[in-house]
Amino acid sequence: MSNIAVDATNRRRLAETEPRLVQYLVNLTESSSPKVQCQAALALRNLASDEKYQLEIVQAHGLGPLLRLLRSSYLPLILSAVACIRNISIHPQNESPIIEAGFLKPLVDLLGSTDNEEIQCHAISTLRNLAASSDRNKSLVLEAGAVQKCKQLVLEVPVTVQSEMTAAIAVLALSDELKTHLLELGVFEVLIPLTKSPSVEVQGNSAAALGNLSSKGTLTDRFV
Amino acid sequence: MKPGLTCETVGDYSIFVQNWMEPSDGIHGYLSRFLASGDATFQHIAIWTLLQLLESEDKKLIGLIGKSDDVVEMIKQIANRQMESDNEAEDDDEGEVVSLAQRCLELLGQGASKSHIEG
Repeated sequence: MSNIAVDATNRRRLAETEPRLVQYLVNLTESSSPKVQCQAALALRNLASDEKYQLEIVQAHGLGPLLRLLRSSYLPLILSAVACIRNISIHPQNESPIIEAGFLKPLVDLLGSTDNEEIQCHAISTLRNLAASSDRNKSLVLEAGAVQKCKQLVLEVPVTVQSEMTAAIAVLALSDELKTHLLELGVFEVLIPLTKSPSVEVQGNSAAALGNLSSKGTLTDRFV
Repeated sequence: MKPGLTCETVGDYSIFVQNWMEPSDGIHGYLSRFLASGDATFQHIAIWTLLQLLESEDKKLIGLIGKSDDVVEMIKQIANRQMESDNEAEDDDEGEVVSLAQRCLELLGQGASKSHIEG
C-alpha cells in the first residue's frame, strides 16, 4: 500500500475507489505490530503528498496516533511518523490543529535526541511549516524552545540539517514581535559564522535571517 | 544617562554594532563577502540588509558602515552598474539592486555622484 501511494496517478485512483482508505490506515497506525504501524504511517506519508489527503488525515483523527508513534522509542516508527507529519504540516489549515495536538515540544526534542539526520531534517522542517502562516504560530514555535535548540546544535549538525535550521530561523525572524526575542537569544552567534559555510544554501538562509532581523516594519520573505 | 548607553540607539540595533566585527568577521565581514561574491541573489540580500541598517537611524551603526571603505566601494560599483542583460526579468531584478544601492549611497550622504571626480 505504501508503495502504491508513492505514485500520483495511483493516489488519484485510490481517492476515487477507496473512500475509507485514510481511516483504515489511521486505525492500522494503532496496530499491535510495530511493522504494521510503520508501514501504515509511511503509506499515510506518501498519500500526504496531496493536499486532499493532508486534510483528510487530520479529519480522520490521525494526529493523535501519529504523535504516539513520534514519541515512541523505536527509530523506524519515529522516522515514519515525523516524515508523515512533515507532509501533513505543509497545508496551512493544518498548522494550528497540529500545534494544538501537542506536537511542538516532541518535535523540538527530536532535534537533539538523535543523530539521525533524516529525523532531524523532518522535525525542523515541520516546525518551519507550522510557523509559516501566522505570527501566533511563529510565537508558539519559539516558545517551545525551537530556536534555543537550533542555536545549541546548528554548528555541529550535518549541512542538510543546518540548511533547514537556518531557514526556520529566517521564517521566525519575519515576525516583528519576535525579533527582539530572537536577538536576545543570541542567534547572531551562529548566524554570522554560518554566512561563511561551505554550503551556498546555508550561507543564503543565514543571511536571509540576518536580513529579516535587520528590518523593522516592512518585511520581505522573498529570500526564504 | 548610564555610561555605555547612547540616546541615538533606536530599537535593538546596538546588537549590530556589537557584532560589527565579530564573531567570524562580524556583520561587516558577511556584508563585504556577499557584496564581493558576484552572485546576484547574495548581492541583493546584502544590499537590502544594508539599506535596513542605514534606515535604522542608529548613528553609531551608520557611522560604522560609512567608515567601511570596502563596503562603500562595492555599494558604489553596484549603484553605477549598467544594465547589460537582454532578459527583462533579469533586468528587473538587477534594476532593483541598483536602485537599492543608490538609496544606500544617498543615506550615506554620497548619492548622485556618478560623475563625481575626487581630489
